[in-house]
Amino acid sequence: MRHVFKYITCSLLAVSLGAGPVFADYRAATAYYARRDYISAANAYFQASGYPKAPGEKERSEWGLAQSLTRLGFYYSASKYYSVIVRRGPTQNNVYFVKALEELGRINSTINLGQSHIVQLFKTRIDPALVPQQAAGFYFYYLGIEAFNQRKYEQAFAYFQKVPSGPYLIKAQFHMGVVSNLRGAHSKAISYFERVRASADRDEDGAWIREQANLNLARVHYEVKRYRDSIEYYAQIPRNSDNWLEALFEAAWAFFMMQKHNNTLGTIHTLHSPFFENRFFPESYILQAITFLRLCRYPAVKDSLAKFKTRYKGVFDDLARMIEKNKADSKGFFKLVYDYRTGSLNEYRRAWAILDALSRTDVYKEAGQTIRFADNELARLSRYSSVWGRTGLQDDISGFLRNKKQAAVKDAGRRLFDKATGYYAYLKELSDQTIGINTEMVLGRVDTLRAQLKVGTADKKANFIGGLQELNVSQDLEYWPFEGEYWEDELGGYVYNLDSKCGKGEEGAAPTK
Amino acid sequence: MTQLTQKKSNAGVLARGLLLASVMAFGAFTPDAMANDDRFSGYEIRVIRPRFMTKSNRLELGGQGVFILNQSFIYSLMASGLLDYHFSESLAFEINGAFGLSFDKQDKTLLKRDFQITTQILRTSYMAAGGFLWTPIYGKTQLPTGDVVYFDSFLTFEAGMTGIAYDYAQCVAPDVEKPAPTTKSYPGAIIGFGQKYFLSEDTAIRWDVRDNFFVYQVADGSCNPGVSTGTDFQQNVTLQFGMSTFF
Repeated sequence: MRHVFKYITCSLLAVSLGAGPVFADYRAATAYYARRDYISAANAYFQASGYPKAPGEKERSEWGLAQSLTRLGFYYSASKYYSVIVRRGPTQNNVYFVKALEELGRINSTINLGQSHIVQLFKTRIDPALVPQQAAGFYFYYLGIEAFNQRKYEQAFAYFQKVPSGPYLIKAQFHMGVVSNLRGAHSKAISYFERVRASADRDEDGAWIREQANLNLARVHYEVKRYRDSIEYYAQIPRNSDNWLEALFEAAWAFFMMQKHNNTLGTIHTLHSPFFENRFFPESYILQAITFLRLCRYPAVKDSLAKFKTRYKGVFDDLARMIEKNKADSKGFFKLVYDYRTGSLNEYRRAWAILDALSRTDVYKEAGQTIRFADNELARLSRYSSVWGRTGLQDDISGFLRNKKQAAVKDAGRRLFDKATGYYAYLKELSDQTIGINTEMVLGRVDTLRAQLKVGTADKKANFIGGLQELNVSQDLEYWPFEGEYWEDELGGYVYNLDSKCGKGEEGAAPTK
Repeated sequence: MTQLTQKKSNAGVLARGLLLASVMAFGAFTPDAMANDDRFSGYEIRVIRPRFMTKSNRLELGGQGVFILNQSFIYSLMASGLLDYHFSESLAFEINGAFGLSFDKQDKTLLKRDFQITTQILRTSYMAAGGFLWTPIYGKTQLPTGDVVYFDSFLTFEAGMTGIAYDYAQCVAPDVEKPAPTTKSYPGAIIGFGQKYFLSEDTAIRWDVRDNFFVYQVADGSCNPGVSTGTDFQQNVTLQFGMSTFF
């Protein structure tokens, strides 16, 4: 009786194992794939890649596994196996090299693989002549980015130039614009940014790059002292954009350089509204102070400098504490920004403006995207645990996804920390400037100080209404007086109504106390 | 700019905004309404921007439901159409017409059934008028959702005709020959006020309260219309609510 029982048990075990993918080979995997049973196919390919029975079977299995995962919508997970293929380089035996590179390019154009992933990928040097046309965009764009990050601008430009038509062309053109501007070729830069504006898609990604192009166009025009054109481009940043306040602030400088002081002050008035109390524009107080200085309104200068001190003294202290506590913990620093963004942070309250600024950076957003996509695949992975858990595929993928998350968090944390220390230095420099302005005023060297500002000549032809809009005589206007109450719809539309007190017995007469 | 701008902060609910605006519409009916932009010169900070809603040289086509408020024994419900041409932001010429029906209230039925009292009633069957709209106030209010809605407050001065339908239902005495039902038209004038709340640059919700007054021949409604018994004065106070679109 005992023998019979043993026999039945062994038979059942053999049947169950034989039917499943534990003993599956490459042929079984391709059969599953042909039947569109990608769950079993992925499992079988994973096994076959671990125990290849014939030359080239390992590589074919890896390709099959990556393809099965792509079909199942596990793009990040698939990228792991495509990357394994690409990192082997374009050898004669690596027949899937080109296709894997193409697939990675496709995945990266929809869900960002992350800079660190791609840097690892292209550590293998590849003969550019061997890079197929379909993968050239992805390949050369990221080589360009790497060179750009290392400040090798000539090399970066050369790589960007090699990017063919496709999803990477517009990004490459954008960077060519940036490089051209850095080289001092402003007209060329404008031409590249205009091209980006014109060819950007009408989707979310297109809107993002169009906005970046507009900002850069505005900055290039500012640099070459075409302030009116600069403001025109700043005005194209939409109100709902994270960059809107940045555009307003930079436009306030353009107004200042054009000696449109009422517009400068009006634009700053928006930045100082209670709606934006957690936004970080400390320099706006300095600009406000020197604008009042230009108008010889000395008490207002003092008031602006005092407001700067009141608002940013606490920020400075909390930021210093935050930096000190997290200088060896990039993960912890990322969590701090994350906690602020999700509303669960209760400490460093006075430095929330800094955390807010950090949470609006592309660094934070990209890391957030990586975490979201990885978490999404991890959650879906549990659905297949009964099949993939037996062969170790689940562990392999989940390990990769967790590492990817950790790498993204660590990398972003380090870069955000660097930015935060930059903000610290920036605040310190601004604080020194406020002391400088005060000192010069007290010493009666107001004229010297005003001369240092080097503003442009007043553009008499340019007339602006509230916000960044030029006066159009055929347009009906509406006026709303500001009576101490901020209305959300009025933000960005303020203009001051102050005349200069210079030459009325006050110019040069420095107010002492 | 020839108008007063009026801001209403945190009105809480739209109804409060409407009420305040109505009060202001009357309160602001002064020559100040024609003041120019200099009235903002006293403010250190102002918002100056392109006007959200421009009406100058635009046609407004609208439809409204009309309810006559001051009738004791009947309900009069009418549908109206209006066509405005806006010469400027503050001045428009309007033509409008309304047609409708009236229904007896329970009071009238009870009087007849329990007390054998038949009432002689002026049943308005149509109103047609033309005249001017003066818009002295352009304002905005904030909804609880945080959205800002722009509005106009305007006054109406019109002249027109009002059609009264006589059914001679009161002519029940056996010795009286009941005249055939007829509709008589009377010239009259209309004054009113209202508001438009702009949902977009082309669409607005519009409401009006109007006083349509006219003089009619008393004999026209009597059982013996041929015998003149003098004239009387009648007012129809209407509440109108609808939508407008601008071209």
